[in-house]
Amino acid sequence: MLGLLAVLAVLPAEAGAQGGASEFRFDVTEFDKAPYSLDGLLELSAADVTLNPDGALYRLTALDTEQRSSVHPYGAKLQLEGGYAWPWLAFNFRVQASESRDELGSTSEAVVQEAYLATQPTATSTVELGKRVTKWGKGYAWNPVAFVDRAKDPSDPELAQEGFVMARAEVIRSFASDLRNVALSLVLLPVDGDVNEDFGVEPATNVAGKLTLLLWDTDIDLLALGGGTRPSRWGVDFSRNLGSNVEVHGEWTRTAEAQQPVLQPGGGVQQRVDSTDAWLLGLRYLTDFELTSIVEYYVNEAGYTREELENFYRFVDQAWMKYEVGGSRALLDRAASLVQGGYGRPNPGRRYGYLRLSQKDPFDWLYVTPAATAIANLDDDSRTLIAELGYTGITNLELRGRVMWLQGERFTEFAEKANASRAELRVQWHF
Amino acid sequence: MSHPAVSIPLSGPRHWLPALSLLVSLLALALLPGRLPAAVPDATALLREVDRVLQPESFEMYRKLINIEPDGSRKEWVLYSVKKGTDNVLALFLSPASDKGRSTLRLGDNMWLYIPNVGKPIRITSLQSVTGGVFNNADILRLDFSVEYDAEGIEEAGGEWLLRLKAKSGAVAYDRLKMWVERQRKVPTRIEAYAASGLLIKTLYYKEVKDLGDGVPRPSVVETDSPLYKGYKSVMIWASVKPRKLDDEVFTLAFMGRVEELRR
Repeated sequence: MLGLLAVLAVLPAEAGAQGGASEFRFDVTEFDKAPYSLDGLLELSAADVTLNPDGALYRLTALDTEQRSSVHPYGAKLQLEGGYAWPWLAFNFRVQASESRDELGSTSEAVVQEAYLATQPTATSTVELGKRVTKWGKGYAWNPVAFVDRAKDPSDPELAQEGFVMARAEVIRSFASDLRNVALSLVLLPVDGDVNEDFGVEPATNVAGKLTLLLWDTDIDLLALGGGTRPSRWGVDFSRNLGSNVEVHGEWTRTAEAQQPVLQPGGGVQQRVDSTDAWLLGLRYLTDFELTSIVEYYVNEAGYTREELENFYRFVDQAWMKYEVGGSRALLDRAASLVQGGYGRPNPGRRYGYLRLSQKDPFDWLYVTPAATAIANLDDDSRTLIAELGYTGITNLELRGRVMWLQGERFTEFAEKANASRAELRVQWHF
Repeated sequence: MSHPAVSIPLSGPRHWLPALSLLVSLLALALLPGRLPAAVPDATALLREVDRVLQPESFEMYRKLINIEPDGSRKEWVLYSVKKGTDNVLALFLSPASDKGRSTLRLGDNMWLYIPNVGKPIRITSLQSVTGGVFNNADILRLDFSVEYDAEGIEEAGGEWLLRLKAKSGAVAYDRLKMWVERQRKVPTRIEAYAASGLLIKTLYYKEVKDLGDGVPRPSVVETDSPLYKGYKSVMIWASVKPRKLDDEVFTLAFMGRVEELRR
């Protein structure tokens, strides 16, 4: 007995823990499920922004502020995400509060990005009610089939976004055949007063649906939106792995009777009403030395041609000169209203190319990822170039430094943005 | 192994008994462990036995992944995983906080990553790594070896069986594997993974066989190193492997944001 006690006494302390290894500790009881969850993200950022005083969008957005050649914004963002699950109902939320300051002043806001109730009437169906983010589409930089999403920023596509208030129901089925999965998702998205005011003006309820198939090892979505505050549209997307290191994806959509304000050469505005297509083809490729390439080609027939964009930028230039000479801002105000109507979209043109190269762990530096990105308007040859360096080697801490340059001839898209360049450092702490 | 020829007289009792005695002695010697080559098992059947020793066909489990850098610093992840049938695997990141809520799904050669902020599954490839380090997605979402590889040959090596495996298709992460298997317990001790060019990509070492909760002794630790990551090491620790029946619908893109619901 004494011998046995002696043996037990020298056993490693972890040996009794489930899954414990002699050299590595793993106590699985630390990860027992709780009915609640709460996670947070604190982000600190600082930037050096070279402004573009000759750019049309700078002139329109900075009309009533001090004219500067650069600003140095810095700020903080706090994001809390969590929920509580009862046996038959769950509540989930994500809220974000941020404050940013620079030489021109400060801005602060608090946004409920998501807050919804979810229940499962059956094991294979879900019903959700509340503010919810849906992410439709397969593209990385653009998603023409994202009918009920907010437009994402192609220069930072993975930023968390705010959802819309909606009711959503989803049913999933699985089969042992070439058609492995089917999921049907239906969305009711009302617009009324302050509810989803970003989605339309007149009160109405939008109905959207997505049928997802995994067929012949290919993800396929059939999507539609109709009957509400936006023109009806339908579309399809797909994604497929061609090998252990290659993926291809695409999206196509048709919008019926879409209205687009177009500035005429004489200064008048004409509403263009037309059915338009938008589509995207993309590829993701990983080399043997772990360089990931993402290439996308995006065509949006509802966008402005090179001549239409140039006409708008020249109009702003002339309006600015008249404002400087005579003090009249009527033309600038008209241009500003057109910015709201479509010319101010992140990418208002017709044809774009996207290329992102990111190298994982270069020179055996684990968790270091340098990346280079180019976003180009292929009609006017203007472009944004981004150089980036990320580091995730410290648990729960993510560091990112990036420099962005906007280039192009006068009266082209990226040469007329409000900024000429931006260098920023961002630190994110997850807790 | 060659054996000396024995001449056995066929007649005469005086000569018959010593000859028989010699024969019995030789047979006894030959049958001692290690003296006679054991019957070589069927390679494909052995590979299937290895699969079942490594993991049940349908189960849930918890794993910890550790990346260790040359200076000894570590980064760790904890995953909850479920598997059904031969080629359906789903994993949810429980830790660290920066990765919590991410999930990965594998259906045969198809793989997806779901990131809560991104909000939708994106296709990933087997050679990428959602964690960084020496383990790639194919290691983290590993299917049964017999699903992805054909056993091309088997031989004895150092008291173990050496299985030579060839990928069934170009979609498999490694073109060839060499797998050393313990004879008695059918537990792999070492696996070398090669690219189609013949380049050694990594070596996996299976260690610490124990009961992980379902009554079957299994390796609980896998260490891996790679000539492509000199000085780096990655470790995977299994815990709480339990058989579990799951709906097929769990292994769908639409479910990737809800994996936490499976945990009990």
